[in-house]
Amino acid sequence: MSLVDELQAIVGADGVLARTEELFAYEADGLTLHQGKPVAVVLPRDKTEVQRIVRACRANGVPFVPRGAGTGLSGGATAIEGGVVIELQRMNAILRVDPDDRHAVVQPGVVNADLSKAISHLGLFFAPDPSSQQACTIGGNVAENSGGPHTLKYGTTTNHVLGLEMVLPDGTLIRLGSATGACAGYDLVGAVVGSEGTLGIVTEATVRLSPIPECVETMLGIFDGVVDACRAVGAIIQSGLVPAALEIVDQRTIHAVEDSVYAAGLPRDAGAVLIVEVDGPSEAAASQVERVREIALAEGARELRVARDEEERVRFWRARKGAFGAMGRLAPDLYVHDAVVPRGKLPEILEAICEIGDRYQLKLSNVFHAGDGNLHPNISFDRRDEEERVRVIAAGEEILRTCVEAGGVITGEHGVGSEKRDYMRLLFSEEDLDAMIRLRASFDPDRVCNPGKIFPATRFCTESDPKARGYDKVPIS
Amino acid sequence: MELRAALGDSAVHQEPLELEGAKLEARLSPETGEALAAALRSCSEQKLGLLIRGGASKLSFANAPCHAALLLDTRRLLAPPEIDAEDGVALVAAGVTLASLREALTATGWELPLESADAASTLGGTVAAAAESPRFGPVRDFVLGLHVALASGERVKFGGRVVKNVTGYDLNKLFTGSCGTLGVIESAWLRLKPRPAVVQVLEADALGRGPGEVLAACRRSSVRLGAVEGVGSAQRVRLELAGDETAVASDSRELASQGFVAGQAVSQPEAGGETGVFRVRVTVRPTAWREVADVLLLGGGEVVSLPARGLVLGSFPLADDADERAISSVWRLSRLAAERGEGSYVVAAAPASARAGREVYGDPGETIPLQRAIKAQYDPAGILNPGRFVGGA
Ligand SMILES: Cc1cc2nc3c(=O)[nH]c(=O)nc-3n(C[C@H](O)[C@H](O)[C@H](O)COP(=O)(O)OP(=O)(O)OC[C@H]3O[C@@H](n4cnc5c(N)ncnc54)[C@H](O)[C@@H]3O)c2cc1C
Repeated sequence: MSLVDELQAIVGADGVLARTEELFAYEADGLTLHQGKPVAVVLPRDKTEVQRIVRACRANGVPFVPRGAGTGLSGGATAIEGGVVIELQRMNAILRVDPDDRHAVVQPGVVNADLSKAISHLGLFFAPDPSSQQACTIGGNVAENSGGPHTLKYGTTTNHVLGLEMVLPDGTLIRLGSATGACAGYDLVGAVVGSEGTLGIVTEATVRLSPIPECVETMLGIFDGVVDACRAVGAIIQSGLVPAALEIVDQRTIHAVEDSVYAAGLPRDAGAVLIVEVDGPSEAAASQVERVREIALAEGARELRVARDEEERVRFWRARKGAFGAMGRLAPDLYVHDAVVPRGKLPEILEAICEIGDRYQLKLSNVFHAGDGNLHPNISFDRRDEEERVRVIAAGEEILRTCVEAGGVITGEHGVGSEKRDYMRLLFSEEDLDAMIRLRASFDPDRVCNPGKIFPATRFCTESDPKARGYDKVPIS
Repeated sequence: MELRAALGDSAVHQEPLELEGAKLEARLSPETGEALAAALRSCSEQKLGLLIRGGASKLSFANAPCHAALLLDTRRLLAPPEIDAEDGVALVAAGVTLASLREALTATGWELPLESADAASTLGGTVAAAAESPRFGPVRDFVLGLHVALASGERVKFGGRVVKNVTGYDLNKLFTGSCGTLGVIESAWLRLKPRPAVVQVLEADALGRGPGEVLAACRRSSVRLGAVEGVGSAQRVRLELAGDETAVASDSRELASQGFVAGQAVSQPEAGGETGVFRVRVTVRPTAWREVADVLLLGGGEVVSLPARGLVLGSFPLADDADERAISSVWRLSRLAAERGEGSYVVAAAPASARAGREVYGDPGETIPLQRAIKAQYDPAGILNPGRFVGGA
């Protein structure tokens, strides 16, 4: 029996895609620069099926790649070394909601926004809110430790995961953490969140739910230049205010948004807009608005608009969250970077990034989580134009180097994936990488689960050979 | 002798001592990361077990060590903290005490979100033990990056100084709370909290308030510490509100209408001597806090509940030479309390005799093989705090 036959025997014929035309959509994720062809895509319905699929892959010596909605931006869900893609979208049930204890148990295929929608009548929401939340799955959020505009106040996914159930790369099912968040021993949940699908396949997550704040005020600070807007961000952070969100949209993005269905009436002549959101009890929110206004005007804002009603508030956010989509109009492909710098360095780094974009003659725009120092320089390009593609990659590398030199890191929320694995050495020594590989070896000594991600390609030969690293000598009980 | 060469004479103190039931030949107190790493490499080669201590406030925590030859003292890893007041982050060496760090921050707009009942507690020990702070929550939320010396003598770093970071595995999480069994922390990048403009304490009778009502009060947005203390009719709910003036005033008005009045500072849970006491931390469903507290109160000790954190802390007198009946009775109570709250328990302090042969971490269940595999990867010779961690790792 072939592997595809075996997989069909597990999930049924309609749960396996293996014809060339069916596989096109799975050759990449949100990062179109990197591609890989899987031998098959399989869609399990429950954890037992996941276990059987993993065992079948192991028996056939074929690697496997977990995949949620495929919105990842670092190639994480792409079968870069071939193998079977295990797509979790059919496992999309909300299994339990415990409103008083404020947690929910969900399957990995639940779409991020669907969870918050399903519990809003209880006055609760799931705080991690990636801009892709209408499509991306909780399994993907867990694997990437995704953030969003509200990470500034609420933290990233790791702060909202209490427990996990997963299928380990040898096919065993295991529970980590608990509904109360406590765990005896090492913080395995903390280690698995953000591990980019390389330590096993998450089949269930127990997540923390947060109370919907009584009052939310959303403001739009309008600035002549993006550097001024960055200074205002620094001043707000230093004032001790903890806004729910601090997001910057630069002029090029403003134009793309205003030309699209996400148009929100952003002023086209502004150099940048700063979205500030504060939340909490009504009186407290009102006084925070006044403090933000003072700071923004002192830092050179032309104007601070406060959303008059829910409709306007939603429009501001639609403009922000739709920015990537709008930018898709500028060129066939979009390359989104994700570096983070110390917040005080934002003004100078922004200038440096714009200079790099100009020097490489690229269409570069910025829309980013300024409050966290998390940049998103976006480069619009056409990947069929080989010469332009080379410039895109060279500029990207220069941007990453600049951010690292400023004390920053190469990714804040999108993950390393296949995209940035060769830049890991900008930050980490061989010993640092080795320390990470030891974790990998504890879960997946044979490197069959999502291979080709996170670690530099040139480490692959040793990473893949446990004997070469002496793992075979380590007693693993 | 090799150790003297690696560390320098002044860092090797040949003073035999007995700690935690282990007979130790000498104390090592490296002053630099290089010296620490050299000591670890040498101990790994010679398979010499190390009992690791910072301020020693958590020494009576963890399983009893099964074999240790030397004491590794991290209190002299003392590089001055690097505080970035613009960004609200700080790089702090392992030996720095929380008290001195708090002091160094007074002139800034930031405060240290780590707590310890003991003034001698060091940064390294606090991160390694990772006891949840009643005020600020889990230690893991504030660790942005770590510099660690591994058993092999390799010096590695995880994370960084920025507040958001997914570059590589999050080994900060694995090492925070690993009780020195995977590596020795040299220093950490911490995320600081903005110093609140106002702090105010309110209190009310707990008796006559339903558990849900108390929980709701503790969950109000400006309440950063909500504790129930005392026994019977003397049971009080104490709330510490913190934040900007308007936020605190608005919560405070609402709470006043529910019968709360200006109160005394919340006592530091888990304060007091570390001998002759059995302390347990029970993590529970928040809604079950009172049932759990009632179970622990049967033991005749002190109980502090932190309903919003889903945490109930019990502390019982237990003599160092207590008999088996007294010992098993407090353990049984801990287990029962955890079951009642559908949670788990950790014994945070107990006389060595009461820990011998028992698992202080409650029930690690099916994760044991994975935990052992991790331990074997990072400390193959088994020299770091041998036997101290879950399942004797
Ligand atoms: C327009 C747009 C906006 C975005 N905005 C943000 C943002 O604001 N913040 C942010 O953080 N990200 C953002 N992203 C990136 C992306 O949406 C997130 O990384 C998201 O969490 C991925 O979810 P997914 O379901 O699409 O996962 P996929 O892309 O399918 O997979 C992502 C990774 O998760 C692994 N994985 C998936 N499911 C499982 C599972 N069950 N078990 C183990 N591993 C699994 C995969 O192997 C892969 O490594 C954006 C993407 C787009 C296209």
